[in-house]
Amino acid sequence: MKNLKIILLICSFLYFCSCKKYLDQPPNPTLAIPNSTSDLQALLDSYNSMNFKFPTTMVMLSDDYYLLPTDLNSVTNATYRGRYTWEADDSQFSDWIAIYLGPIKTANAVLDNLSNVPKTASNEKDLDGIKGSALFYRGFYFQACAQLFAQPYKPATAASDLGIALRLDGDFNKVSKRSTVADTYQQVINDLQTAVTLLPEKQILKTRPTKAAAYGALSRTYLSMQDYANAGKYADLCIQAYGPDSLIDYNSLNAGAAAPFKQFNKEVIFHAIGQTNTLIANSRAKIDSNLYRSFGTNDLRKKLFFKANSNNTYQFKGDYNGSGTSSGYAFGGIVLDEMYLNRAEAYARNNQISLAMADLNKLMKNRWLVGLFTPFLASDQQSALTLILNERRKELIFRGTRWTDLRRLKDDPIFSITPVRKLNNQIVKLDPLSPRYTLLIPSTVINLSGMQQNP
Amino acid sequence: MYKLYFKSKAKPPGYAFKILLTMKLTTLLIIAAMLQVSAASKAQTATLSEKNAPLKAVFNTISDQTGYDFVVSTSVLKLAAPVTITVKDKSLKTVLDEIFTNQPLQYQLQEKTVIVTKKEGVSKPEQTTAITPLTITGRVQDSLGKPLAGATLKNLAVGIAVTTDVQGQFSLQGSNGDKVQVSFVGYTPYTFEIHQQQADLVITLNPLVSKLSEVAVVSTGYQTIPRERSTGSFEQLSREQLNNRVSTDILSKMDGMSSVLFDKRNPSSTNLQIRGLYTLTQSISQPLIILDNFPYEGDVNNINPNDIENITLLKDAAAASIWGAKAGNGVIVINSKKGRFNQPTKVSINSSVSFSGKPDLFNLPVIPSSDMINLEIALFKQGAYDANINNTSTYSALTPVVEILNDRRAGLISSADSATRIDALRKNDVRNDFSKYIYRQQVSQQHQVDISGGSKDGNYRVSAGYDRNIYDLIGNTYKRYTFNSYSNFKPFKNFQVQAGVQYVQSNSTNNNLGDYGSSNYDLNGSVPSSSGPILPIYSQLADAAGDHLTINKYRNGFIDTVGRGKLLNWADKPLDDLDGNNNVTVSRSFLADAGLRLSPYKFLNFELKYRYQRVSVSNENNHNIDSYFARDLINQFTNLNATSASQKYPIPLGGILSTNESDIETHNVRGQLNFNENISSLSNLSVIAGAEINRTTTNGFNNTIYGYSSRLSSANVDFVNTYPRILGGSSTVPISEGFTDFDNRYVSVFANAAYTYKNRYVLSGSARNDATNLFGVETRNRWKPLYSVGGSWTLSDEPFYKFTPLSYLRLRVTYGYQGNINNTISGSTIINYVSASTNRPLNIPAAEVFQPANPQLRWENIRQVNFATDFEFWNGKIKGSLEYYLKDATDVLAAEDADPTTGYSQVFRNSANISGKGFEISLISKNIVKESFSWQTSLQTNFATYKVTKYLVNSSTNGIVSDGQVITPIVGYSPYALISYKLAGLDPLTGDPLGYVNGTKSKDWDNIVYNTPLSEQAIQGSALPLIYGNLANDFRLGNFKIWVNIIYKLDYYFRRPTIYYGGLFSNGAGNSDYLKRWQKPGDELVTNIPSMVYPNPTTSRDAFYMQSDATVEKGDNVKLQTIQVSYDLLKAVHQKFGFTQFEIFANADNMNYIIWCANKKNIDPDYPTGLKMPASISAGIRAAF
Repeated sequence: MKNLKIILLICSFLYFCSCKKYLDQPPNPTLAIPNSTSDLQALLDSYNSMNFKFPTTMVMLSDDYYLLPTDLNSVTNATYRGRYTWEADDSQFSDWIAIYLGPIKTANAVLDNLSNVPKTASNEKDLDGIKGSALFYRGFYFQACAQLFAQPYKPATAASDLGIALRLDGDFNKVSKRSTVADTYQQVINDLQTAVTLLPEKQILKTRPTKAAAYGALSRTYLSMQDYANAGKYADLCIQAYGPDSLIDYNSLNAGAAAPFKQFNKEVIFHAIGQTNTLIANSRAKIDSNLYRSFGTNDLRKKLFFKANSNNTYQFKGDYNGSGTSSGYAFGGIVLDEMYLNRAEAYARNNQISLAMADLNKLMKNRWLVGLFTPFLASDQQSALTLILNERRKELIFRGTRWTDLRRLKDDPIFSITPVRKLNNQIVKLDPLSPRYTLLIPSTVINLSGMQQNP
Repeated sequence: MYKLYFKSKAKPPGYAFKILLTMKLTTLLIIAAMLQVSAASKAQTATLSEKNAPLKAVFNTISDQTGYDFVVSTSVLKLAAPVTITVKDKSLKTVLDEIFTNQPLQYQLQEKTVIVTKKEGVSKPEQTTAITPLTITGRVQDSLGKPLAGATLKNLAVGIAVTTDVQGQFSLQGSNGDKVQVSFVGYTPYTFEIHQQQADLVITLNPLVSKLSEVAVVSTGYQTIPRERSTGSFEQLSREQLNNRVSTDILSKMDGMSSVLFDKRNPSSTNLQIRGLYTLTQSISQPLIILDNFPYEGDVNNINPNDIENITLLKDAAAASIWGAKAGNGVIVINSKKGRFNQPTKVSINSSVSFSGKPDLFNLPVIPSSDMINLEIALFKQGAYDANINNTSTYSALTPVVEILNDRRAGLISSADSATRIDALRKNDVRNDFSKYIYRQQVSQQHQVDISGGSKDGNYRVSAGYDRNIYDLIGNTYKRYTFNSYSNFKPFKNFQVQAGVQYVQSNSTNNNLGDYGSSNYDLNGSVPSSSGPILPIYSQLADAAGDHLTINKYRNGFIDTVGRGKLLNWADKPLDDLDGNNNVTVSRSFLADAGLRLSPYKFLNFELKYRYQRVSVSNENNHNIDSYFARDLINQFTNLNATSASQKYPIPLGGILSTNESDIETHNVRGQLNFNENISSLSNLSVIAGAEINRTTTNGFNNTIYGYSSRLSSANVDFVNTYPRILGGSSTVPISEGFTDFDNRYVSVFANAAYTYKNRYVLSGSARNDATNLFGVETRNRWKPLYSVGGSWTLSDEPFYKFTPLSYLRLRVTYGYQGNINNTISGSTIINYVSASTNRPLNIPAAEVFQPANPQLRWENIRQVNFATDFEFWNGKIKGSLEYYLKDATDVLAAEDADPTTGYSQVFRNSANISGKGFEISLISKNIVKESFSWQTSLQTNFATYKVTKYLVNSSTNGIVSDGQVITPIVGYSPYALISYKLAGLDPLTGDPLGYVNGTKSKDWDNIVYNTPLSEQAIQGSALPLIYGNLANDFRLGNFKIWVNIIYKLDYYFRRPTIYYGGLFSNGAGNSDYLKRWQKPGDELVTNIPSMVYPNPTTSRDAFYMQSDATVEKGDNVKLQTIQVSYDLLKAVHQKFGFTQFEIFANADNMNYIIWCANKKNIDPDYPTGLKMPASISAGIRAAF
């Protein structure tokens, strides 16, 4: 009987080994439930999710470049080719999906799990920074998404025009619905305004948002709403917060380099780029010859931005990501030069001509060969705006801002531009009345959510 | 042979009788063990205290105490009276005398065996008188001259049989011309004809080695059960069956010989299926593999097939549910060879060599050189290559034809020159060079020696094996060393200890650049991002003299000028690289088993088992400085203007070594109580119960070392900062670095019981509860209880059963649950940390959202009902079984398409059900059984259908198509259903493919591809065969044995590759369907291959045609798989050298000879791409002494 007792003892030992603790070890230590500031910060530090999802389509749709028919034909993906001629396309090759799967999901996951971390005196600042960052990313990418999929902002109809889907938490059981354009922009402004109050002045990485970045994003947002007073106000706040003298003197750069600009250079306030795309690969995308010629001989940008191809055409190499001739990215981050141009335009719109010209000249002085810069002069609002928009076009090439400018200026009686694509024996125009200023939402999204498609 | 089961306490007593009972059904009983003499020194005394005990129980007790085996037939036992006896330390003879006093039986002691027969005169075999007066008397003996007691002599003419007595003597009557068959279990039957009265006829029977493995016990990994007492669905492959195929690994031997379906459509990973697919997650759809008592972790290919005794498949719930939550896809139990008690030392040798030819590349459907060149010329004219020609950033190479055309256009060469050069290329076919320089004949060798033996108190087996494969790709080899040792001894009374060690080391080299068509070459055209040399069909790897040729990845002009002579040689000669790389993988597997068994009582014992296994795999891929890989990378980063060496060479001059290490460590502990008792003389209860705890940890890391030299030095590299690249832009030094770490834990309690009444009614049940550290799931969902019940009834043993042609009939029914676990999913929001080095360009740790929160997750649940019958006609002339099952899986985890706006394009939920059924027929027919010639046919057929019955996903099935390669859940269809767009022919004017939109012919391909509802698609059926099996014929002619296996797969479909113009334009990916394309009006009558349009109007045009019903073929086929011829040399050599086995064999395997095939396009459905696995020819010996 003694043996039997021992056996039963061993058996019961084995049984009670099955305690909860033994099974509480996660199967893979790289997996975790986000419940610490470092977990949440790590989510926000994912470059791929948070800084690499700027919609490259904004450049693809713009008139910053043109393609030779053979080059266009050699792009295999018909959707990409269709972007060149602004075709209606609801395929899944869409920034909509990339934006929602990446930064929006991650930002919402961070906001949802913030409550997992108890607030203490020592982590309060970090938690505020994390919350502010998450709100910044959400606002920043909602704004970019709206430039493609929401109707252009018109104060008169914004309350009824279709905006984007405002996903504000991570519950995937909620059905996505489209908001109005007014709600979309209001959400962007709310997110960014809150972010301003929470974000720190400085971050160790350009990929993390700061207070200045949030001001910059607000300025960009108000500009796309044609609210020039606020665009100017926040551009000013941004410039003050970041440092008005952080412009790069282009005289210090090497024009012969394959990539003259460094990644994370001192003009970059917040870093964001888009995925590479074959349509705008440097070997394909050519710079419009009029645009190229519009750069003066003493304008350093002419050599820093462009590289001659073998067939008398030019390609772009002047991106702020530092990719240079290796190709096809769109830099969409917030940069100090854009803020100067926003503020200049706002001053000009408000008839503060001298302030406007001072901003423009401060920027341009850094772009010209040293000692050879003659300041721009304007006597009236229109000539000031003409100069500013002209330089804006040249300065912000391949930044994605051009698409927003086309959208906001298309109904402007003076500055409206109708972009044109020349194919072999056909000319395609993007007429101001065209519905193609707003892209179609991918059919998979429409099918699965039942939301309303754009016209 | 059978005495093992008498003596081994692992099996509850009484099994031997049960086995004997089986034998009764095929022969006319009485069994003699194949005796092995061992000088037992122990005193044969016994102590008994029994009251009205069944005789067989008493025999068991005596057997346990003395080591003597009892040989007795069931019919004899039926005569036995209950025994009442009390003796203490009496000699065996005294005890036996007392027991037999009142029995109508007598006994004889023969070496270590007690042979029990009826008392003379009590009952003689009944013999109806024949008219004939001829009487034959004589003696039956084995090949060593020992008498065979209980051999059957059957007069086939009148059906009367007699058995030999203990001296092997018999007396038989018959008439002139009657045939008499002499048979004895374990021996080849012998037939002779009566011609005259005869006395003292001596008949010698030869042992039938193969029959030895036909043991009627099955092993579940927890216990061995006599087949007669199991209610579940088991399938066993004996050593002899496994010997019929030659392979380095054990699992592939089951292919075409069992009910396991081998899905080999993905050449890099074969999937196994037992009774269909009842989960929707590919990674957890595999059967559980057990080696002896515990799951085998690591690569199953490490197991040396020569060490394996048999394989048991556990198919239904009663058989498999003892493995609980891991058993949902069935269980494969691999049992290794062991030593035996009381066995003289035996040495066995197995050795074989196999050869197989080079694959036939000319069977591939490629676009011939000349046509490809013409196409490139046409595309060149349309400017298709201009972007690449003008590419001044990455300078990707152009194909030779485009280079020539470009030179011509630039006026560098004359048009005559251009034509001559291009025409010269038309004669080339790179496949010739591949056959000559990349491939060779494959040679595989297997050698193994093992020594086994045992005394009364211990046994052992030690084996050592060496395998060497020289693969058909030059530079790829495999070597494996295996060492096995297992011993079992009884240090004290009632105490047994087992200890085993297995060590396997394999070394493989993988220096070849890859198969023709692998992604390591850019076989066709130019893609800027391509990784390898551009090798269009008309290129050459070596010139006529055999000198290796340069094939560049960059434009020649660029390579010649950019470095100004200061870079490393940038020329790529792929054939040189066979020596430049050294890619070696060493795998070491160490496995230790320890066990002890305590048997305090006759009816109860306790076992404690422990297994430790550690598998380390280390891969080193060394690209030395001469390799193209290293030169290319160094050159790309070289900064010619830099002043310091570290700035000039961000990637140091030297080799590049990539390392990859992984380590799996497993602990298994199991405590188990075994109870077995004859509750009465008619009933037996057998129960096991226990608990186990398992833990498997996996660690791995990979790394890249730069500046590596064979003198074991390396250089520091800056992975953080970016460096300008000669090809434009700048980037950081590439690093492949990562860690993996898994820790899977399981805790289980289990019990299993079987009650047998009158040897013909069996009731069984099992229960198990599993838990795992499944992450984030609520505790209440963490445990998973599973159970099964079963019953069987041997109808033919009933007294009322009189239907003699069907001499054995047994019915079985089981019902129960199995489970499936998936440790990769979880209930909370899970984030996944990514290594800092992959978070470019920040170089700080980052995390990504891995899974949304879903607290509702549960385990997958599989319910199975099994109805079966086992039968034998005419005393075993035809025997077989029929199984019918219904299988239902609920709570199946399925990925559902989600609106990407939610942040997830897929979410996992327990949202699907799968339901299916099938039946399995297995028949063995002994067509001819003669001493000089025998012929046996076995047929196995499996029917398995299954479909998704519920899928709670509102995902749209619009536009859905499937090749049946990946699991695609759609309610009402198999997860491997093949679904296509309907092709409505070609447009007679343009050759555009036409589909249907709302029932009318249409060219709106985008609409068709994205929006066609499922109801308007062509749904062909399953892409895996729903009916499959094999037909094996076994011939024995004298000492020759021939085994021929034919396999068949029916009721399935496959999609063949075809032309895809988008790929053709962007990277030259071609298919010979191109030649048959529509080219002019009228062609639509003879072809359905669309016209070529440049530029490709939309990717949907290709997608539509490639996935249309025009590319689907019926897969049904019948193939000759294996022929094995073996010759038994035992007679010739055994006398002289003392061999007990000596066999040589020749084998043709994987013949893939198509006997019949449903598709008429000459496509082997197993190899739709056209690259067939070549057949292998082997020769070898199997010997033992």
